[in-house]
Amino acid sequence: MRKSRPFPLAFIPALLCLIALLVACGGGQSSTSSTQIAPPDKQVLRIPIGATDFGTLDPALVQLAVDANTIQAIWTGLVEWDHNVQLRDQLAQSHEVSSDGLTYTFHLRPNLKFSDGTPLTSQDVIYSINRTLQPATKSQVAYYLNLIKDYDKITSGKIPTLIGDSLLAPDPNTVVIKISKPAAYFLQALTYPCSYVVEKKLIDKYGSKWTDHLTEGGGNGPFKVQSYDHTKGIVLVPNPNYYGPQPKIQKLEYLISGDQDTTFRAYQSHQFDYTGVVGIPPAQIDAVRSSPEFHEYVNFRIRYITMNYLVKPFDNIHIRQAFALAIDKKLLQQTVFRNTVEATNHIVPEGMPGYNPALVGPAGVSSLSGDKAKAKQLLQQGLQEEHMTSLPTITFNYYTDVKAIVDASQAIAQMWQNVLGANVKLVGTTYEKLITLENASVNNPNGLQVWISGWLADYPDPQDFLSVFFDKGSGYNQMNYGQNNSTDAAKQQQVQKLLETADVNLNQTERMQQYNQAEQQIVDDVGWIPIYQNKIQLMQSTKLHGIVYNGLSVIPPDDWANIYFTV
Amino acid sequence: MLQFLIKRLIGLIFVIVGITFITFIMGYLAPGDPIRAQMGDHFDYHTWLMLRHAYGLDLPWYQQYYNYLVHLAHLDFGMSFKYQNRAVWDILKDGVPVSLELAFWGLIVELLLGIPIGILSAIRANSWIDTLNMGVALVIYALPPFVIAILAQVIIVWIDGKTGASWPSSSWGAPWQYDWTDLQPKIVPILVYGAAGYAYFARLARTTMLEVLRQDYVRTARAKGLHERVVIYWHALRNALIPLVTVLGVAIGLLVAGTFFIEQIFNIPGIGRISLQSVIDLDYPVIQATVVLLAVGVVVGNLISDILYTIVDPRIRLE
Repeated sequence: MRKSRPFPLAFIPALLCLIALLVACGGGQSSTSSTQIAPPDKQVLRIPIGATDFGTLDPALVQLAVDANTIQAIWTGLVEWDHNVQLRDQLAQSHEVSSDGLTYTFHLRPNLKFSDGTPLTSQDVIYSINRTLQPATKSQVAYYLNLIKDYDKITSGKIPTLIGDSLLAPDPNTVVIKISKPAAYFLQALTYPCSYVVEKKLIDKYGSKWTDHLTEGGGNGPFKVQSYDHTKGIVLVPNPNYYGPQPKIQKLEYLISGDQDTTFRAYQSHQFDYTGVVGIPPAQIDAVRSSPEFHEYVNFRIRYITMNYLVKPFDNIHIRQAFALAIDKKLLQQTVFRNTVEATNHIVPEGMPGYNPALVGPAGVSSLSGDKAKAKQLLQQGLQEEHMTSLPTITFNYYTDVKAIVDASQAIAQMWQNVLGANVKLVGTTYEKLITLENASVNNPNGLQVWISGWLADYPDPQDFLSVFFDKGSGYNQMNYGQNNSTDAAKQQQVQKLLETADVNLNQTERMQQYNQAEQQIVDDVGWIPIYQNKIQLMQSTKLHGIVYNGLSVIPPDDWANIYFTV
Repeated sequence: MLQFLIKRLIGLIFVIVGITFITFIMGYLAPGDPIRAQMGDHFDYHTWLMLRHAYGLDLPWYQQYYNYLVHLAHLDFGMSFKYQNRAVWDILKDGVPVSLELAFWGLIVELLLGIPIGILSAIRANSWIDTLNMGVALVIYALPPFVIAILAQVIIVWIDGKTGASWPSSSWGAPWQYDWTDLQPKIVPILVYGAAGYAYFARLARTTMLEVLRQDYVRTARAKGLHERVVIYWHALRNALIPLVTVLGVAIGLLVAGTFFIEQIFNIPGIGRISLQSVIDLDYPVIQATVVLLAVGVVVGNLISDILYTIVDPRIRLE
């Protein structure tokens, strides 16, 4: 039999890989950065948005940070935050508040236009706010506007519109909004995208599908939509009808990028200029920390442990303080979280208006490592006051969705056991279930006893942390702070009064002092045991300049004029 | 033939009803309230009630299932929970051509690599070529596809980092378009898909070919003095293909399922990525729809394999 010599097919896979590698090697470019501004065709900023398409691009519905970032490049509202987290007029040129604090009057900038050139007037402003509140819009975030007079009536469908009632447009350049009670944080709530100004014409034409037709107009921000593909992402270009300074970035792309690992590798292979909200895989952070592309900043989310004042033994302040001081937060930060978070004693996050750098922890202890000796001593004092000889079993609820939270909860239970001799029963559930249980703990002595949870600022104002969680009647006062039978309940109610005063105080300096005072009191009372403040880690090309990081993770519309690439 | 097709189509309807029932009940009994899950930190009872009603989740299960089937009969898979105001079909329809494209080219690469390698091994059975081929095939067959995919990405990142090139590590072009910008991101995922699957075909082709080469008619053909190439490609190969066609039918059905991890890792906007993400998001309507689509894929794949069977082996009749 004759033997032929065929081509060794076994080498085909290796050969194909080699070809792929060789093709990949072609066309190199250097990655060093200079100070020379890149030409307009190189001003293309590609930002990843993670594994999925936007949940929505309708400002009235937006819930996710990633959606909000894109929305804030396309639309603007009456008032917004600048990059120093200071409130400023945006579509409005100026505003004033009536002396009773119930009527807000906004004067719009002259000659405002939508991205398609249609004039934007006060009618459009009140239409947009009213639309968010109408039940047909199905907004899950309409509650941001719950201070507006007759909010309850419109959201429950009892009246069809607030236009002419609490939303008024006396002339094309003036907007008047009436609210139901004086509230010094109304403008803060109004910065949320659900009150941004959208174009009625487009919504009338396409109904709920209008965000699929944004190439026809609809926006009023620094960028307008060039194309939107549900499988790839959105491409934005400067909006020539924008009232503010024009962006230097000529093409802004928000692209679907896969999960965190895939996105990170895509960033490393130069597919993105910025890892954005997708962040860096935790396992990679230590490796890239020293890179010039690495950036880190705190955002406005606090993780805390708290306890139900209606469930013994946590009606006793000294026992609460003992539990707080038994936790070594610094150790948790270093071990469980590998320094990706910032241990804290604060309820109001760092970087926010009203942050109090002088705050001290419970029982005068400021160390983030707690104080074991003091904790033991406080526990004995508390047990004596309660006529108890030992602690009952403590039921600690935590959520299992995030591995670091599971690890942290177990470590904290261990600390309580070691320092206080507490017998801690850990109960793990989903985050969703835990929130339901938390809500059910209001006024409920059979509710949760101790649990871990978190809160991200809806808007950067101390009211959103302090009054929302500790005021009388708030649905989030799951600790039953103030409304309980402990000996110091009266003192807690004084704090609640102080919060209510601060909420309506239009003198912002004085107001912040009042919140600082209340926060100090609540921390000493151990309303929460704040554990840490979240940090955002990201990578950014060294050629990209001008992005200012702050806890909001938002790029204010006028900042785009200062964001650019160098060659 | 026609009768056979009609029978199969009727069978398909039963399969779909069965599949939808199972996925529906699993979704219904699964822990976790999808509406609650979407609402995040903020929980507003009235909003929750309103949304439950809007999605029909306040109805008893049999009514929900009935409504689902009625809509399905109109090719309406319902509305997504996660993507506000978007129909499920609207989400899936963009993914179908992408997954089909990946699966199609992936299968071509699998076959073009696998069958020749397997046949070569059979002809050179027990030589060093055979040992090398089957050794490599065994290693690749044992490696999960996602390991190969991540390895490929790491290599791309490494090369990009070394050379400053911008070869994309995870992306996809417009489906069935082959300009360089569309083609470039597709090359590596398709090769990875092919590499991950070729080993199976190579091993199978080797076995069946060896079987056939021992047959009397092959010996007869050689005894006649026929050229070895004619013996192999004309007499042996055709018979060796029959078992491969059976496997191919099942493979076509499972092709899209096979793209799941490749799509997820390479960020390819196909059905696989949509399915995995919908599971993470508890987006039940999307989960149900993808399961139904996959079931249809498997049934149709089997049908194609049955038809191909009659073509390669005329002795088999479908009736």
